[in-house]
Amino acid sequence: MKLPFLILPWLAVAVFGATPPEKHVTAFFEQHCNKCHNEKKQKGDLRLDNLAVDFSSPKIMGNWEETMNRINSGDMPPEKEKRPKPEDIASVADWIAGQLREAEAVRQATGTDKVAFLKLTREEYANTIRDLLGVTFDVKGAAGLPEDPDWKGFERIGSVLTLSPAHVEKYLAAAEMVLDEALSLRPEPKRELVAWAAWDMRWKGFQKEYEARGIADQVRIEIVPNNYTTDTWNLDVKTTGDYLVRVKLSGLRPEGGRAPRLKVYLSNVDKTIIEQDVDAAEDKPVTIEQRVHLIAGKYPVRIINSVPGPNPEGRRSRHSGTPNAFTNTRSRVPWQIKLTDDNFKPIQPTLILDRVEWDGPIVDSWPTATHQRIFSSSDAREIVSKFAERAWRRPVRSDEVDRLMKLVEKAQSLGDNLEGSVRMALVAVLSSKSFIYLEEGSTKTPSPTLSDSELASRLSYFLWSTMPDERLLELARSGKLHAPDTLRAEVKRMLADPKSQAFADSFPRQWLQLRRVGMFPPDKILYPDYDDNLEHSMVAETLAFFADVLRRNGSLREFLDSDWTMLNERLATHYGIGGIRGDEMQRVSLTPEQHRGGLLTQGSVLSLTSDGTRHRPVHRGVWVLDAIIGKPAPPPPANVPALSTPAPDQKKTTVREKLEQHRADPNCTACHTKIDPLGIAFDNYDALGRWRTVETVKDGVGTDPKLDASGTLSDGRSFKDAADLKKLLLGDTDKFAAALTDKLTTYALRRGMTFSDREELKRIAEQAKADDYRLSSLVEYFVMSPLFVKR
Amino acid sequence: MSLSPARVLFFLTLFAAAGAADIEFPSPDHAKRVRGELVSADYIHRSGQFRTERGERMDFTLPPFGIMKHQGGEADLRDVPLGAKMEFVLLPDAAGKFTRLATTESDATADTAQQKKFDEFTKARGIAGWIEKTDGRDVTVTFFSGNPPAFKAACESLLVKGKEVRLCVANDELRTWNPGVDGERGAITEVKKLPADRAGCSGFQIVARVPNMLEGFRRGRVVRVFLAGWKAQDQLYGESLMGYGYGRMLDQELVENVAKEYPEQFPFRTDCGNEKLPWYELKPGQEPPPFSEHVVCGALVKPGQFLNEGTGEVVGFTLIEKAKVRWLNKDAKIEDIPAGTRCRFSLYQDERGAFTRASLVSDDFSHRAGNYVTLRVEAIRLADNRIEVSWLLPEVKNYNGDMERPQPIGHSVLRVTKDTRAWKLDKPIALSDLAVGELMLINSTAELPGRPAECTDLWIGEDTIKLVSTAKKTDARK
Repeated sequence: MKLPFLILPWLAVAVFGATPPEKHVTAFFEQHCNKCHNEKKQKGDLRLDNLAVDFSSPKIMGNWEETMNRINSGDMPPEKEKRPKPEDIASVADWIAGQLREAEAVRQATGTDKVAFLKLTREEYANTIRDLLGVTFDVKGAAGLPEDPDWKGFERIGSVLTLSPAHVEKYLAAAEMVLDEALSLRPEPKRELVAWAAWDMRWKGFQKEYEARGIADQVRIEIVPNNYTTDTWNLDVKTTGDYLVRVKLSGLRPEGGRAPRLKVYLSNVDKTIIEQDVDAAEDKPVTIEQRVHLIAGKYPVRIINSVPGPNPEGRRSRHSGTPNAFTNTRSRVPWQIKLTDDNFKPIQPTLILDRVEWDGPIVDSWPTATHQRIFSSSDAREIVSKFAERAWRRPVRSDEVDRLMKLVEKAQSLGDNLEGSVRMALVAVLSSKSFIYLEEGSTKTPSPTLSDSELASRLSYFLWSTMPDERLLELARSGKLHAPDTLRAEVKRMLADPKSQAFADSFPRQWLQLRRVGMFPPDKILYPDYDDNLEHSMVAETLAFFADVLRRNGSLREFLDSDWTMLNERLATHYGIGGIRGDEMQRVSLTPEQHRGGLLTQGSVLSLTSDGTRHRPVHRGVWVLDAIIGKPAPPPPANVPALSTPAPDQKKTTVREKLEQHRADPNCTACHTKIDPLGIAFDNYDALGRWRTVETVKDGVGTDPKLDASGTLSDGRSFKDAADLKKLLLGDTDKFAAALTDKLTTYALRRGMTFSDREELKRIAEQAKADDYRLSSLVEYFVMSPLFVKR
Repeated sequence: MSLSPARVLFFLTLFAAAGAADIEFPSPDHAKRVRGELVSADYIHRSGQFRTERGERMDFTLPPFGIMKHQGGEADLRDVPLGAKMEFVLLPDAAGKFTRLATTESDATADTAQQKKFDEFTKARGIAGWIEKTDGRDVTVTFFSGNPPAFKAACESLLVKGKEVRLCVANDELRTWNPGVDGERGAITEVKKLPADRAGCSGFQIVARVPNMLEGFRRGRVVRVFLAGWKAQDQLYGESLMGYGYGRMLDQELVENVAKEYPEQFPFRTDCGNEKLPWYELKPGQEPPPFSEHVVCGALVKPGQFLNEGTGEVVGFTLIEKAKVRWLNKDAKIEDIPAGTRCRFSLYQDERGAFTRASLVSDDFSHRAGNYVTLRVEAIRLADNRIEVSWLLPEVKNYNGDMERPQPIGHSVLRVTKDTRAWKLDKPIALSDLAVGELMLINSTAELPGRPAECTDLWIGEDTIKLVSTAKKTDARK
């Protein structure tokens, strides 16, 4: 089928005039560069004496980037020439980096386009499908959408999210699939119960013998740590839909140790549908139930005990060939891993599985509620136009409906009934640019600000990551939404709505670049305790922390330091904080000796800035400069040598000491003086964010060296450790508020901030300051500001 | 030597109460000593029979710490020749019968060659010991020995803190599963000397730290330990509980006995354990599960009656629905089996609790043939009315994939009389024509009070056994 509505957005390129560089830059060129790069002599085809800034010219901005890289790396000026002072290099590089960022942000700005098209992220797409059709679209699944590219952590920057032919096919297939599930155009699916007993999942050959012995009903499956049921069992899902998965099992927790962890995993689509700790005595099994969405198909299912633990060789964790199925922990094969001590108390976190059930598809009504709503009329035109208006989140023109109706008519002429022919038009609605993109602007009536419909969408995708609800659409239709009182009331309503969890989840992930957590999986030998559970818990702490501040309308200061945090058992154990039980994140009071509080000393942040083997003070410093201080460091020059390892017979040295040697190079000093102290302050936290006082060093001789987390900021203020640095940062809350406002606006407006936005940003930050930097208030001030409605 | 009733009671209490976790070495003073000659030995299950000076045949089993001696040195059952005379030092079993052989004694002077042979035997299998305690990753093991000074001489230099050990789980027959794979490498962290005044105790105890605790590292269980420099290797085919590397174990009496090793997996009493549970009750129309039967041997008197071997008691029996009768390795009718033939009866209780309901009756020929065992003639002493045989398994593939005859798994003395018939194919031969090295299967009478078991028929040669097993006539003597 042809899709007349699907068009690609055009690339927006703003045209600006050229401006000369700042005086200190011109002076630097005069002194060090122009001799070889002038009107007469242009070494390397480059002339610097008249190089101006022109954001519209990729070639000119490319020359600036090259110039910055050459100066930064010490390539230029050449060796025979006099060396510039490090602080001068830093100052010029900083200025050029700022210009490059600005150029990038300007390219992202869409205000000068007649119509801007901002593609929904895949998460927003799925949420919109959920709210429009009441079905789950698994964006990460095989039939899902490709991962969205990010720009400095932000995954929703309009100009970065492009559309390829592969996307087009995916969107079309997705539209067909979700409509098939949402509408009742097929026979009513029959709810079925598929149950797997222990016999099905392991001891297949022994069933008859156990039935004869009379204890077939006592047979269970023990799953040792870091292992799964011997056989991968195949699930055949006949109908796409929601299913209830029930797992009956025990989970033996060793005294003082971790509980075993159930993970139900579909291996061919790399999808985990249940993952949680299980704490239930051997003779008191529990049933865990989870509602999951499954797409028709075959799935090899693995029931895994995902807690780390000994799995030295396969056979130790397997059953033997003799007919002795597992019935209890007292009767196991002697060469298997020992699960209980001599008094039969658990020593390994072990799952004991009884049964798995798949119950579904769950159909709440038939025809579905969505079907009943869509086909509430028998007039095809009315149905199509109502649906398009909701899906496109704006009033629909009659010529647009005409085009959709042609599809209906064509289908009817081929013999389709009302429902079948309308479905063709609905597929077209969901495949159209107006659904997949947020459209801002109009070719007929250009405006520097958003219309009410556009405002409803901007607001809704900002705070809910989904389409506007009926109330917002109605306020937009009646032209009341932009009225300040209405808008303020709506922000408050939206923040109080559970859907605002999408903001509490998505914004901190992108602002703090949490998708980098686990990107370099920690070395299994150095960090044997690291597991998915810890990784998820680290991210969960940061998200729950942000959500708590948002719900309470707490101060931004809490992000810098706090006497509380959000922990579950796994993370609390990792931090060495006792008394926390369970998977759920809970608010925990902190004491100074626990060395936590605020975002900077959270496991997520400390590990995303490390690699898989050690902490990286420079990465940590760069991250702090960007996320907290709002002054991103210039990119590193090319060909930076790695930190040297001492000879085997030399004394062990800390990363800090190695870095100091590295920094002695004058080309490095300038930037690293700014970056390194902000990272070194957190040296007391290892690559996984655990507190320590000495650094474990592999190379060299002698004892592991003591850590020194003290430092001096580039403005001369000194600190002795991370806690001290947090105090200095609290003194600079203004800067932090400005940085956070910049991130918040980038997230909401889907573009980088430019010079033309600075005044507005400043005003918003000032309003927030007057209100003790409260987070929800900051969101409200921003929505109420002219910046929010600016195109 | 006789034993006072008080002493019997003492032993009953000692052995009944502690069960599997009992790890006290018994004092030899409390044992019953009986003189006799060895007439049968099952190397794999560490059990056998001896005949007392009064002509009575007695069964024995070596407990894990039980020590066999020969020529003044410690010996494996394989090394003790049939007919060897000695004093058997017996402890009571769970039923109060003196069947547990703590050690043997004789007047022979110490033979260093025998001790050396035993040291080599041990080196190939690991020294056996009891686990006294486990704690974290530490396992405390007390080693067995029947000759503490020899043990000290052989092992002391390797039982040193820091030395490597490989701990292999074993059952109470001292059989291991698969030492090369399941042996857990560890290091000795402590060595303790204990008084070696109890039978079976070597006087050495170690604590070893292992990377992984295994289920078999549990107080009261047995391990075999390979010391530094010893090669942790699988035991001989038939002896290993896993039979890894060779083909499937054909002899069902040699495979891991699940009823013995995992009694918890059986909700009823078996011949191997669960003494406190009731026996399995037959259910109409349902085939009883393996190990639910109580096996009794005896002489078939007539269909429906046999004499219990040992006691001579008359037992009436009925065959249950679908019961099997095996005669000369063929399905048969109970009437086909000649009166007086020694048979094995798999029995279940009747409504009064008496074992009268048989699910299987089979002669010795069928039983051995079913387990692929043949007897090889090792010595012929017709003047003494006896033939000595070893028990053989068929050829199996070795680790190189070549066919190989496994080592014998036992040996025994057979009594022959002038009435004993010998057969080659379908022709009778004179016993004097029998030759050492020939393979055969036999049937005999049962051992009854005052009437030792005697061979009725010898079927000599693999061809003969095959012919008898496939002959249409059920009685090959006719």
